[in-house]
Amino acid sequence: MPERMKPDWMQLVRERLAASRSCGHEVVAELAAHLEEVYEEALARGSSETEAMRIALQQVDDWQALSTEISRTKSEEDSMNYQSMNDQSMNDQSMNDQSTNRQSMNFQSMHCRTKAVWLPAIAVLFGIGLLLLFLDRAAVLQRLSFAACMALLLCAVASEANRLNLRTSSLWLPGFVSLTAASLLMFAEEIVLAHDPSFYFTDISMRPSHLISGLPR
Amino acid sequence: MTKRIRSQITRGSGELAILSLLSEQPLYGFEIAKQIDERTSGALKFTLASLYPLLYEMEKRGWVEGHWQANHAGRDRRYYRLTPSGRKQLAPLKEEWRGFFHALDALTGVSHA
Repeated sequence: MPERMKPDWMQLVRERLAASRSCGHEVVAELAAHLEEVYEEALARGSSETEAMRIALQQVDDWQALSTEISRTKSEEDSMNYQSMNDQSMNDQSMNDQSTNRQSMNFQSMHCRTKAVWLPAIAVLFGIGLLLLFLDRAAVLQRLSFAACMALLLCAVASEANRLNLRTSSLWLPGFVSLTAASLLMFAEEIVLAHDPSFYFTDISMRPSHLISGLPR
Repeated sequence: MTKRIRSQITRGSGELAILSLLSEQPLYGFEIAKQIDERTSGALKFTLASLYPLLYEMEKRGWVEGHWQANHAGRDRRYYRLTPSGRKQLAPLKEEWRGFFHALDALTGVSHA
């Protein structure tokens, strides 16, 4: 028995919501998934493909009204992201891989500054920090690069502020900020109270001895 | 068989219906619509067009939050769960509806269940 052709629900919803530029990729994916389930359920109940399609499409009488209503509830940020998401989805028709699709949606919904500035800067600084750590060079630069990573991470969080869920903004973020502040304070205290501050500021060369003796007290 | 309730009334009760369902477990849109249909024997029906604007509105208010997750069939679905703020809304909303039914009963003699 030949495998039946599945309707392209993403395409169908995208076309019907085309008038509204505020319905982003995530909304299209969610509505398409809903229609797909209605269709599959109708088939499972014994409807023909045509009948199942009709039942699924009965879910929405007026697509224009739906897109207007969804646009009204969605934020301006979603609206701004729609253009880039739509361009991306036009270019990438192989969105059927659902796991890739989910990652893509999460990444695409990021603020453009997060993608273009904060994340690359964090990656570079973190790499430099790790490299210095492995080479055991420039203790102060190691610490500073990790501290800068944390600062950049906070910048990224600020860019994504309107997307944070309640638990992130009320629990994880305050916890992260407190730990970062405590870590920076301990670092500053360590420099000020160290018997040999030059350890941090002059030692740019290989210094294996401090691995044995530990940090100055 | 229960007669289907008109869409204006359904819509008004939608927030309470969704909050009540999500207080039990996270669900995705299709499951929410299906459970409302099944549990009310078809009296309350939510189509895609009536459900999602309401869900997005509730998400905007911070009552529910959505996250993508694979369902039992391995397909990605956007699951909604109640936030602490949404949970706080449930009791006053129930009370509000209880008051509404009492008032309607007093006025029209419609007995509430």
